[in-house]
Amino acid sequence: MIPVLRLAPIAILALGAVACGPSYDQTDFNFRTSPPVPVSITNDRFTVTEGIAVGFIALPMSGSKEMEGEFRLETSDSTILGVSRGTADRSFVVWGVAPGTTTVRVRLDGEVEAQIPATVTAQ
Amino acid sequence: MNRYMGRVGATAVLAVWGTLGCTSANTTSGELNQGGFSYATVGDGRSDVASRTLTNDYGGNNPVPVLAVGGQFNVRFVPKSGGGSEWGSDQIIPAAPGLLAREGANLVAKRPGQSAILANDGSVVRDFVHVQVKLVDRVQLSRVDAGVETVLGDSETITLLAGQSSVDLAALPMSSVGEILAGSMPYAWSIEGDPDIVTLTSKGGYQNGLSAGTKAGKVTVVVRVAGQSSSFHVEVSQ
Repeated sequence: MIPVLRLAPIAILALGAVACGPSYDQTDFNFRTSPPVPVSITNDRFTVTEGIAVGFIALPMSGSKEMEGEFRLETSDSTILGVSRGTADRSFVVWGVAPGTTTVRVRLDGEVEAQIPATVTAQ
Repeated sequence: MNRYMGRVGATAVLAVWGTLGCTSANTTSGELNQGGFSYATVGDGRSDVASRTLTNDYGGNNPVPVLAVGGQFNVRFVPKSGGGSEWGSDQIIPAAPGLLAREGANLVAKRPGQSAILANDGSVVRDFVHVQVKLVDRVQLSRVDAGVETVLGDSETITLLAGQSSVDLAALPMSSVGEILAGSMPYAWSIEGDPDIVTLTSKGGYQNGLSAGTKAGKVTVVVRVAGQSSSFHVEVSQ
């Protein structure tokens, strides 16, 4: 009985570690293309001009570490902003469909981790 | 802005399929470098001057074709992987329907601006390319003699001999900065005056032929395209 009691703190610590796995902090964006007019893709806001597309790699981060899992970006309104996966791992393409505002959902393993406001400006 | 345009021009050039009927294909890389895009004429009896503006020799510095508002065109995409199969037109998606709209298998330039064309199979965007659209600002008329073009000045007069002379003509839609604009568009050629003096012998679209009739006199030839027109005079003498 005594050895079991001695191991209890270790077991509690181990359970805590499992429950407190890496938590999503932000997404890092790295452009793969140079759009003909500037666009802004950040954790705070997407700003894209109507008709303009940009390709980028998006990495979900916990602190300074890339997170594992199924990572997706989704548009809340595809009549304003288009969002699609690209061919490379964690690559995406975003394009302005029509002027307006919407949000981009950031999903990791099905869970919505963030909703980033998005604006499409007119040409 | 120019820095961005330069990059796009180097990496995202559309290629022309040359002549009406799409007999030759030259592709160049999309901006994601996942395949090649080709620009194709519509081939529906309308005209497209793209084959005049771009050659079939595509290096890295060729400009993206500039399209005319109202111009109709077709874009093909062949991915690098996938056995070289061309994608269907339903997988070629204009980014912004307000700028470029789909009409059947073709795209139509709706208003000035820049717009991406996406190769999208429904789940993945494989690649894309940007094109520029501009308004037709004026129509440049030229006479063509044995393949040599001479630009006709505004309201210039061409002199022909009755019953003998003929001349080929070309009407090019131009932007405000002097670019020849691509895209298939209807061209309306007409003669104002006595039809016995001069007749038009249609060669299709932006090209036309002019034949002197048997009667002497003076007429005006007018061509209209995309809301713009240009004219010149023809004087036929005996």
